[in-house]
Amino acid sequence: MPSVASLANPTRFLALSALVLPWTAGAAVVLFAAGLYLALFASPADYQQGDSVRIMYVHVPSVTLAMGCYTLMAVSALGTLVWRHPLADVAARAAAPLGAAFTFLGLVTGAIWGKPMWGAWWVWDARLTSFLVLLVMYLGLIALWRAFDDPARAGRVAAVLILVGFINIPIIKFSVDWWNTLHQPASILRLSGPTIHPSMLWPLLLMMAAFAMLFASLWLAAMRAEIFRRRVRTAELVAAQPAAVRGSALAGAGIGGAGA
Amino acid sequence: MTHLGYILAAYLATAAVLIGMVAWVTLDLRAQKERLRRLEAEGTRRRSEVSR
Repeated sequence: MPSVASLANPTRFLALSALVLPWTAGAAVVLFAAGLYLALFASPADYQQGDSVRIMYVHVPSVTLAMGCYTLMAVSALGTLVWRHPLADVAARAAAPLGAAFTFLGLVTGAIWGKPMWGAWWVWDARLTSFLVLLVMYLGLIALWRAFDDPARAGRVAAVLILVGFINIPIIKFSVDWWNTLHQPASILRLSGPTIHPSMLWPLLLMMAAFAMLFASLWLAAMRAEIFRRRVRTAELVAAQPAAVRGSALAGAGIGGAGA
Repeated sequence: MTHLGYILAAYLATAAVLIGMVAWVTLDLRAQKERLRRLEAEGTRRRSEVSR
């Protein structure tokens, strides 16, 4: 029976992901069709918020994925530092731009909801500020990966930074409990159960599943692209090696020739 | 429908970001596959393939 490590071999990953990707992408399309119908037409307006509650159906999945993506990156960072698994850094690096995009989307949809509900696009409360810090961390990590020529070295440095930055995830989650914030407290992930009426909870869960399936598809495709990028880099290095050796030999001959 | 402008803005922003992500990842994947295919067509092989 194959071990988990052998299943996570890059070549085997390429074969497996090619099989899985059409199914996750197809599931995302179906879930989005059903979720959008329920979110925009079949679910009721809120008794206080009116129809602006419908913004929640895109805002909550975005922020959940933004934080979930960083958590996946933290697990991958452990894989890079502890097990030095070749796919772990590929997974983290491929996830970072997706996490940044979902964080940006969470901030934008939150601001659009905040204007009619709070009377302000933005307030410096603990939840919003810690979430903005998450976007800055994503952008910093993307810049860090691009700053190194050697992806393996970049991966180790980024992994340390990802694990240090993971402290922000519980801060975002519990900021509404620890500080007096304008942002409402948790209403889905609670020990005593969700506080949302089922007529709104089901469309929300469907949209969360649609976003998750889309993320899974994009992550798999981005990982495939990253593996191909590294193979291109290795092939180019191999192709350049004899030329470099020839170049240095020629340079040496030139110096010698000038002296003679 | 109340706050229609805000709801439309939120869903359009979401659509723009999600479609942008799908396009970017798809084009990047296609470009990397094409680069690798071209290198292999030129006879360039990775070290692991050369040693076989």
